[in-house]
Amino acid sequence: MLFPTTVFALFFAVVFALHWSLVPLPRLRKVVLLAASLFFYGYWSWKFALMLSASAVLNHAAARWIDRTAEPRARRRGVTLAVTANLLVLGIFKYTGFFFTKLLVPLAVPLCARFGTTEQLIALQEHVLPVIEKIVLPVGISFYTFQALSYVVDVYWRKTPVAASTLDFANYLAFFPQLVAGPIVRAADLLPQMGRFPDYTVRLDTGRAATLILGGLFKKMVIANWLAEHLADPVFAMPETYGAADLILGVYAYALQIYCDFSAYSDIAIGCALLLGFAFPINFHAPYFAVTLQEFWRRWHISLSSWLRDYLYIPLGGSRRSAVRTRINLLLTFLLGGLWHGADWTFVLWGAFHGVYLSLERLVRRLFGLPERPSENPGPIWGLLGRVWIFHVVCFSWILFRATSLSAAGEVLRGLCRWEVGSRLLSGQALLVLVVGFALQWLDGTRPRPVWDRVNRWPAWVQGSAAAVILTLILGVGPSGVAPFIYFQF
Amino acid sequence: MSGQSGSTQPVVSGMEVGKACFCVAIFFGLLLLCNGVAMYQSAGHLEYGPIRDFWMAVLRPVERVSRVSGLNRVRGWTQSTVGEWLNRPEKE
Repeated sequence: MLFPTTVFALFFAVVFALHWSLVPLPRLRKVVLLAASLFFYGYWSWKFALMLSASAVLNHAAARWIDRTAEPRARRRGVTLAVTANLLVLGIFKYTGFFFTKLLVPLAVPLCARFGTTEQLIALQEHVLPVIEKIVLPVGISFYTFQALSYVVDVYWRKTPVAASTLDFANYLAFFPQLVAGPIVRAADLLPQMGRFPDYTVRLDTGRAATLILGGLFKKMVIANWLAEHLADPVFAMPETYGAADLILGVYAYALQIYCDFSAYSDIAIGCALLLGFAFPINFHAPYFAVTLQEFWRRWHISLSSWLRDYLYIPLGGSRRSAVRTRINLLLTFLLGGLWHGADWTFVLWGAFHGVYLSLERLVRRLFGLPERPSENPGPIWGLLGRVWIFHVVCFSWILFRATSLSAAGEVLRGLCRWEVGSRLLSGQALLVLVVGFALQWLDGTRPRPVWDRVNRWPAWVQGSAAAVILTLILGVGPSGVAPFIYFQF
Repeated sequence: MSGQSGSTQPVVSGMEVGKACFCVAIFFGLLLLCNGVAMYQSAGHLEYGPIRDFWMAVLRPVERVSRVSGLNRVRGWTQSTVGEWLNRPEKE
């Protein structure tokens, strides 16, 4: 079920009505919300919903056991088992194909040729490949697995109390707005809200919710879809047929497409949750305004980067040990972060690029005694230069991220040196959409708070009518058809 | 690497739940009226079968009210002006 569809609008209207009409029956209300979330997920496949339910039951059971156990070694064994089981499930569904076809077979080919066992390798491939092809990646498995992991580990670290019931935990894990593409909400943030649902005493921030949902739909349905259809997809499909100017335009378009697409999903998710009385942390904060790559990661997919920091980088030692060890930790974190995004060498290379660049950035900062957070007061010239530079560094990395293979990425990079007179893709519309897509970052974070407060003061019927008319305008302006969100594949 | 988990913002202003429900009801009602014609046309593009029949039957009265009230013109006008200009195929 995709957000910008009639089916989701109908689904949300029913869930909203049920959620607020069942306030006097708190237990039933929780059951209804869980049923709605499972229906939302099961709309793709009922098998996915079963798997999610099993994950909720097993992870909660593991967390309860860890919480009740006093003996440190037994607790450690428990958390290790739970983390391994979660990663194993994720690995089987997401990485089996990659492991076999892109790692094992390429390594085995020269060895088999040397020992004369190529025929056996081919026979093995004939047996294994059909099995791998049958594995369907459940939508959003990476997101809810990370949420489950953070819960189990936080309970082990005693940073968060165990959920009061399996129902509360299942509602936390399966809550439909953030289920398939985040934000990855921590148990400490959402679990208490799932324990005690909002009642009639709360005031709903409808101004913020409407701005986020309508802004998100505009970003996705108008900007991201337009950029994909007219610039990014054609350029990345056949890079050899375009000159450098069009390729640059295509890369800029993809940079803004992925921002508008993914931040749109987060915004709509936060907005929907707000209307149901739940609060999520922000996930994007004007990432292309960053002056350093480190700052970019504080602004882009904040829930993932902070997850990687807290559950991978810091446990590895973070920056507390030697400079060399810090660089290795950074590289490892980003390699795994890249692999989290997708099972392909392009994503591994994308992660490695970010890891290496961040290490270099740390080194340069230390050598020249530059401040830890230069963006706080960089001055107008350095601020502008830094933003332009980091935007282009990130754009370069998006080539690896978007390309379907390493050779396709190489084709784009080669094309960047192929200068031709004129451009086939540049138009007034393209410039307008690119500028608007970039400018939409101003709406991130809490910057539009005065607008939300002003909208909140409008009468209910004015807010509802204005939102309906604005959404109608968005539907009229956007291209026809609904493209899935990019992050669904992760 | 460093980052921030981001904090949930406290609501300083907002609407009572009852009023918010009324607001959402108005939103969905008006949205249907403004888009009834487009939704009906879109349902017509579905594959022939019970799902298409269901949506056509459900949306037929909505389409009529949308057309009679003239609210469908908001979307029609947007589509025929800004929408067409923005989405016209680029020259090759």
